[in-house]
Amino acid sequence: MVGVILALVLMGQGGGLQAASPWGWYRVVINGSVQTVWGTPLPDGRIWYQPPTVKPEDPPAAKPAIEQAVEPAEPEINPLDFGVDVDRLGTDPVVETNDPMLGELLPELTQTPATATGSERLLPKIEPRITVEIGPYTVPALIVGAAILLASLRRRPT
Amino acid sequence: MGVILAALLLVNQTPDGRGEVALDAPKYQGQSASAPIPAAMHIRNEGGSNGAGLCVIASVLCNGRYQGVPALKDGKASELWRGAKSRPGGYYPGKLRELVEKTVPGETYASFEQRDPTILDTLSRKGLPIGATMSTGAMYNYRPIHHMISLVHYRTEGYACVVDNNDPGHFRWMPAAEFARRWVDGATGWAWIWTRRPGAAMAAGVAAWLLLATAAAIALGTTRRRRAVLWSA
Repeated sequence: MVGVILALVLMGQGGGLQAASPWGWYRVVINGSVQTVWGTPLPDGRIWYQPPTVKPEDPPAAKPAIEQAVEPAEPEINPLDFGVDVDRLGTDPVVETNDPMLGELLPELTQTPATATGSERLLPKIEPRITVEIGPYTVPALIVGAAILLASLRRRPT
Repeated sequence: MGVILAALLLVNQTPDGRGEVALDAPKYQGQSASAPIPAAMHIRNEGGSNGAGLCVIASVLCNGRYQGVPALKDGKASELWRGAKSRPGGYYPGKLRELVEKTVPGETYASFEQRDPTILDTLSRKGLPIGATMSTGAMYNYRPIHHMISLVHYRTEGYACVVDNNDPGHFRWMPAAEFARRWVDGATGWAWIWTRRPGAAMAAGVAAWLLLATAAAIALGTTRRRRAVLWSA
């Protein structure tokens, strides 16, 4: 089932749901276990939710699961729920890297010097050089190649 | 229920009011994603030790697997993921740097914080998947969120394609201008990449085999010359 799953929640307590209830975090019962999901109530009392949702922590004053499901509160999104702490993002443009070759990968960046501001981890200047990347076959191929060359040189007639 | 689900699936295939559409394939309107991360490599978001999300880690793990970062080939069994699970969630550049340097030592990366989305176009044209902030989306009924996804395609005059770690297995296409609006969350947008070149390992392998072929050709030439000397003798 792609995208959307219907979660059946226990009904009959709390007097049903409002038809125009908003999307938000709901405690629902899925396969016998209580889970917190991002969803919206259907008129018949079930919660329409989109998996997966990440909010394992219970609210401080969490009501029992059934009441939470049938009496949704105003959606409340913790800034950390999905995983980016935007309050700790910078306000000035910053480029940070540990790659001394970034300038070669992205020469376009050196044409826009305004992207970097005072930090010792800024984009390094381009320093043209030849690099050899060692892959899984590089060393064996070098050894075999050298052996062939050596053998052919030894066999050279005098 | 079946009718409702079928209708929803149908709606899912049609762009919504903001032009977003979720597809199973990394192709849309004649454009193919420049970093088409296979669905099998997508990583599902989870919570860290304090329950806060690991979308940043899920995104960079997914991207790193696609780029062939050796330390990430085991997915959620990698040191990066296990380290993240044992720590509080919710990431920013400095916190990610600390974890990456501890769990994926020696691997090169770059982090960009800015409001100008042209960096997304520049990185995407290199074939790099990008960990990019996204402040809302159809999945979230366009409510504000603080989220990172894998941006697998971005062309300023065309489309953007997103692999959302809250919905792995799908490719969410939208106009690039729409994604550019979502990218800036608060004061800035955040883009993060592994700088390992896509296909670098393969290129090194090809170079090694070329070297081998050259050595063989030289050896063959030497043998022929030797035979020629013998014949003339």
